[in-house]
Amino acid sequence: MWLFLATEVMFFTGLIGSYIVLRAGSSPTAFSDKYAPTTPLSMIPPDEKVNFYQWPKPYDTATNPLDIDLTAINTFVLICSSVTMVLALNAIKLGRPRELRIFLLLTVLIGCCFLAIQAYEYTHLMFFHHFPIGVSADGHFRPSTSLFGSCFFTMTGFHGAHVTGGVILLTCILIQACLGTYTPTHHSPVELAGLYWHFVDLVWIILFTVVYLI
Amino acid sequence: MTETSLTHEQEHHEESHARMYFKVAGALLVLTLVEYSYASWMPVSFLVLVLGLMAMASVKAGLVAWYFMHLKFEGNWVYMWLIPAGFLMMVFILTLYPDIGTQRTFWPSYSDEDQGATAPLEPAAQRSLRA
Repeated sequence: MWLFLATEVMFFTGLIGSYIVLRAGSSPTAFSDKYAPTTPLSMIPPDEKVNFYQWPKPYDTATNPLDIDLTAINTFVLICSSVTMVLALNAIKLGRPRELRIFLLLTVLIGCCFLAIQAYEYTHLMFFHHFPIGVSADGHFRPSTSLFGSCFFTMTGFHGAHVTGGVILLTCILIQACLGTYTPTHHSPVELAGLYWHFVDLVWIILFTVVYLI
Repeated sequence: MTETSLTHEQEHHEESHARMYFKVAGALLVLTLVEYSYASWMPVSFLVLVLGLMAMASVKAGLVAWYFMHLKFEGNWVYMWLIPAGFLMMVFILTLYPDIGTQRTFWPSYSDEDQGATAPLEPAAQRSLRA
């Protein structure tokens, strides 16, 4: 599992590294508060006062549509799921299968809660909210809207896919736990699934900081 | 019914792990709040913001890896995997560096008819620039 996680580290390093390179290489006038992203300067009247940005700033509603408050709550949710996961492993080590099942169920449910909040955020961004012109030309924030949009949806989308895979894996582990498969001396699948789940949480800690807060 | 082959001392040792996990969880939640507050309210420069946030994120990631992923109890062989991962990471970043994403001088070759390109700022233009 550690070898697999090393490959996952390389995968997410590629995504985050690309984000950093693309952001650092963006034009100083790529975003503005009065025109759509990457509007040619020749289309902007020379006497009009426009604020330009290289990249959407956090909390700037004129250019950045992301709800940082909601995502901070989502980060809290995922950390809680990591806690229940490690408590599940601790429970089976102590020979408490009922606690194992309870904590595994909690982990799955909290993971689903994280995905639900992500899904709400995605639909809110792409369909149900009209953002200012500085965010998007058509008012919706989608992967095709801007470089920021495509980076955001790629990175969080892949992370969401990993969380979905983790929820499915943990559900299988939970079913096995309900069948009484695990004992204090045989619980390595629980530990391995827990490693993957904690890694997913770790990646989100980095993603939240890089994409939302910086 | 408890199905355990642990002795009383071993069970007590494992239960102390649960207390440790709650302490680490508390630290993670506090750090998340501090990070959120730091990003929202601290009037600092971009460099200080980035350094502060990445430091906090690194501490949080370290806590998850060290305690939750039980890296504390793993042998040193685990760190061996950092060598090829770190090497490939450096190679990837170095190969990306000359990429179009960093080529600001590339922008002037676009004409207005090209899709999505932003023309370079003309020195004579009266505009407010904010990085």
